[in-house]
Amino acid sequence: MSRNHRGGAAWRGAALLVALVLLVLVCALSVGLGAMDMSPANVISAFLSPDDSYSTLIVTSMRVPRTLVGLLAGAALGASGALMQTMTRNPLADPGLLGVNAGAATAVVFAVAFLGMSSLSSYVWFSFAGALAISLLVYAVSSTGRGGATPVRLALAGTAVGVVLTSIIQAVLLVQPVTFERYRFWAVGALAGRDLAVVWQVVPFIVAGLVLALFLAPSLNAMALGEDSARALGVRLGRTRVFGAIAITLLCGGATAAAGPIGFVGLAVPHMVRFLTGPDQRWVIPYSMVVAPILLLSADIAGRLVARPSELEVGIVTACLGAPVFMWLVRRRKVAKL
Amino acid sequence: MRGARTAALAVGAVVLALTAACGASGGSAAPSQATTDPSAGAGGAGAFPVTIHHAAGDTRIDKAPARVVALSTGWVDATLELGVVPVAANRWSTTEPVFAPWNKDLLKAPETAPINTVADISVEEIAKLRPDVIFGSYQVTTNKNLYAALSRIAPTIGIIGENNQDGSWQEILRTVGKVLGKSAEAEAAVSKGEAQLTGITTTYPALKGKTVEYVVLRQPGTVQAGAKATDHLVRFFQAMGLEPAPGLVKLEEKGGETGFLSYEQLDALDGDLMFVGGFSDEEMATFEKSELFKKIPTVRDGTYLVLDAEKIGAMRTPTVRNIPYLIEAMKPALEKAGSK
Repeated sequence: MSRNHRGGAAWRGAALLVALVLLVLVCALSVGLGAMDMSPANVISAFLSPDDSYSTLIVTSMRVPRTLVGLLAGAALGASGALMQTMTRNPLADPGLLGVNAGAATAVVFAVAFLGMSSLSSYVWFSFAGALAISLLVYAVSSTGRGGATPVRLALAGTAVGVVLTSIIQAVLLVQPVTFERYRFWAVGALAGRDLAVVWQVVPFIVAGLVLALFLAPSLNAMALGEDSARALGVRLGRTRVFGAIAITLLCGGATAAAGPIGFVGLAVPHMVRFLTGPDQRWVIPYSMVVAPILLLSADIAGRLVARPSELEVGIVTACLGAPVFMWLVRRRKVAKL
Repeated sequence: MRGARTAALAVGAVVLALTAACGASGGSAAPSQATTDPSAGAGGAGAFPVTIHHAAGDTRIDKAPARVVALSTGWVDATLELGVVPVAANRWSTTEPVFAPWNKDLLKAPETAPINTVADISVEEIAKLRPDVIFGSYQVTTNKNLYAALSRIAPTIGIIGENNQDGSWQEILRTVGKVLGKSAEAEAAVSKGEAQLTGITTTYPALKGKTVEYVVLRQPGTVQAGAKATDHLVRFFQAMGLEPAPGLVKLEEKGGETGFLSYEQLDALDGDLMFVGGFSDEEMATFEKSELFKKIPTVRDGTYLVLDAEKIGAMRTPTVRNIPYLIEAMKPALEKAGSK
């Protein structure tokens, strides 16, 4: 795909700009559309002349926070997916692969089952701590022995730890139906019901992760040539891997803390993006950051409209949308090289 | 830690009650020790054999059963009301209390074996109790293998409502009356329960025709609130002389995924009276602090009542035995709205 790509940097830059415009548009729709019918005039006046009307309240307390959460979580999932797929050289890598989601889920289950936590804002820190602890564990396990934390070891350790944690979660949920009742609403992945407090809780982590990811892109390009070539080009492999792991943890941990585990976005978006950009990480990562929130917010908007007067969680919608899109990508041509 | 335990307990109660309510409860199979001789009831020996039609088929009962297994709250309460203590009853909560609070004087483990109907029902556990009849739950009704296994132990009756929904408390009572050969007592109990409900507007005449909504916090951003005409709770309110909130009725007429409301649709909660609760106090406290909550008319007027998980769960399953318990729980709001 990339080798005989029509355009150079100018073309890619222009397309990125188009994607950004699209993202702004989706954000506007996310604020404008919902379970409650509202005229555009009402939505605009909620910002320009906020009063104590119902529509102002809906826009400011419901739609703006969930749009911000979608934006942050989407960008984080997209960037972390791209990072993980490159660093583990595994085209199927997503937040599930390195045990990050399992870590977050385990922490949330324990918080609910044994500490009696039951609100989203209290889940955030547990989820984040779980993601962090398990990432460290996976990294530690994979770096023991000779050769250090190679991509294969990382993936194996992540999968192994993930399986163990999933069994623990199942065991707790099986004997505690009450915990299951709370957990399943977190585990489906949703943007609804989040307030601005949740946004402020995760913003620093996600922004730091995004910045780190952008800085890592050139080294990742060199690593894609093979480790010997990368070393020859002056890349410090160990350091890149550590920073990469930190970025992934910040991004996945932040996204999962804010929205719960959301599938397919982190997996499918980098593939969709490479289709446009080729394998250059300096483009793949920023594109993923823009395209993923477009997908996530669109899915959330769809979820608000299809099940009125109730709503469908975004995690369900992304699964339904993501699967066919991904199959189409795979079938249409060979998946663009990592 | 205490707070956590209370919360967990409350959640347990609601989960069980809600599961029972949503999934067409009706499956509490408890082998009951007959405290009275059932055949001595008003139905007399002439009432047998009797055939009961239910969602899993038809079941013939040849003689008045002494040992009753009742696997849902509706069955348990009807059985108790007719003077028979079941030998097994569904667990009302996975934590404490094991049995519904309004039955605490009549049901005691291990005399009545508590059966967990949320998990897979243990056929062995029920067989051990040598029941004469089993009143099944949703699980018993929809799981053909389980139904067949239980039917080999004793005549088994599935849930009796339409579309795998529970029957009304009156229907349940009449069915149990037939099975136990106590139809006359069942009729008397129905009249007694209905009189308790209609008595509300005698006590508070201003309540007549007032509108009401019942709201349970669910996943973040969504509440459970509906006005389906077939909903037992809606019928329960109507028997008290109350009507569902007009905003909810309007949504119901529009169709779609009714029964649940996005927070964006909370303006449909426009009744005169509201009963609201969640799985935990923490969750409810967060909701009460939100501006959206403060905008609900009943909140502005002070005619709402926050119920704990135990009570909000119990409301989902009105039975002949919990009517006084529910009326007592609702009293503060009924008094307030009834005096306006």
